[in-house]
Amino acid sequence: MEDRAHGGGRLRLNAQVNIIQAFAYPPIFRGFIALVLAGCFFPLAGVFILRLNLVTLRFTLMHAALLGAAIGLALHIDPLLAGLVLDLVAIAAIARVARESGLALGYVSTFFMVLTIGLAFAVIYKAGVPAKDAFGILWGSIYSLTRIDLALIGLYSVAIVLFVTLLFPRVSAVLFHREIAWASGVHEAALTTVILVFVGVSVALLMQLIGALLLDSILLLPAIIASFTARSTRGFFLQACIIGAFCSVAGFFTSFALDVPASSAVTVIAACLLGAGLIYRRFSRRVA
Amino acid sequence: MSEECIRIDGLHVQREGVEILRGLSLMVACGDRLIVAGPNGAGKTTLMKAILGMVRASAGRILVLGQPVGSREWSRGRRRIGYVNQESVHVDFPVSGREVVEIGTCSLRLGRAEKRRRIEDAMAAVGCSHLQGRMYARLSGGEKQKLSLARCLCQDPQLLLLDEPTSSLDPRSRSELMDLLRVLNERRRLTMVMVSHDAQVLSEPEWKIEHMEAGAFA
Repeated sequence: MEDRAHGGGRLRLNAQVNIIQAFAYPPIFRGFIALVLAGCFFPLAGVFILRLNLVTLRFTLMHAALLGAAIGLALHIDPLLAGLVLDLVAIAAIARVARESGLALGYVSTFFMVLTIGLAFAVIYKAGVPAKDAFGILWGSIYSLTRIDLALIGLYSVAIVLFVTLLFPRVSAVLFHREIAWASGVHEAALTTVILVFVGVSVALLMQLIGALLLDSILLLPAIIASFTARSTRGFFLQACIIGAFCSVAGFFTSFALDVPASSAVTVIAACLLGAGLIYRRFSRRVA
Repeated sequence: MSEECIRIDGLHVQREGVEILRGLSLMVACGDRLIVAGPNGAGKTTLMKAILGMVRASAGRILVLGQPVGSREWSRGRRRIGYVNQESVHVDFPVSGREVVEIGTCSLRLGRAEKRRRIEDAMAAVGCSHLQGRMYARLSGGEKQKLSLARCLCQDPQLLLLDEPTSSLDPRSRSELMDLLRVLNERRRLTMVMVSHDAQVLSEPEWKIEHMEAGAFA
């Protein structure tokens, strides 16, 4: 099995190694815990993306995180933290510009998406950041996480679970219809901003964990599959989490068994489940 | 409680430089049933959103239940206004009938049991208890509007604003909804302001009618 290690190094594990023994290696244990946490709880942010149609915003956040990583590498600070900060700045800017200009979030997101990737290339070139290090964030590595990274993922998981469970009726109102949420006494603008922050942080963390190219397998696919089977918003959140957890755990062990990167194993399993979900949806509609 | 439920004086609303409402004045007494009629583009929905505080007035003032719209006091009492919006909300994501009604309780400071009781009472009052576990997306227009009414009732409102509530309903569902509104008005003394250009609704007795045209009352 092979995965890219932080800073361009490589960590090679013997495919035959006993899984129990492998867990004795802190990077592998940390990677497993991080993947399980992400699988269980990050699909909650996927539900937000899906329902509020934040797909363009998600790309913008990936580019902003890349710009953050480039700045981080240029200034010798943690690229994950720098990416997180840039994502939060991008969200604040997008929300402000959209509100002040009255433009749709999609247009504003597209502007920032192009701007941030342009700036990222400029920083990489001007600061002499090795491109392979900066672009390392595109494929991520579950085995290169530090304790701080894991703590951030843990904190985020706790925060998003508390947010969704404690404020469920308000969150549900905003997801249902923003005008109705407002008329029901919900501070929908503030709540939407918090939701955007959760989406931004989830994108930044997942880029480090499994990479920008594959983060949809944990973030979005479980939510899409759950949307086929759930009958209520509570069920939607819960099923997205269960599917995400299954994909991450099954992907991790499959990666050991087949000697493939964990991120691609997770993605292939999630894609297979999505295919099964589409068949189920087609069948259930025909029956209905 | 003030006998004036809504008072609007010289209301002007502009959007992107275009004047949508032009010096509107209106008084609705508590317990009244009013239909604001008029063609598309007359400014009916903007008027409703101005009363709800979703649209800012460029001039004039609106008092709802004695409080100026936008003031801190009004903001605290915002839930006293129920809002049924223009069309049955098109929601294709999983949400159950009960969860839609539950939205009406989300800003109430009540215990879990009390909220549950309110949801059940509201659903029973509009006759939609059987829709609790049904997926909202699969309901008919009439069923969706019943859930919207139940959602509003959970807020224990004094004023109900209805924006074209019958636009997507068949004649039978329309008639059921109008009966239901009449009963709610009589039993709860709920003030109702409805925006509509549905000819059948406009022929309803016992509703006052104000006609709007080009942002002003005709």
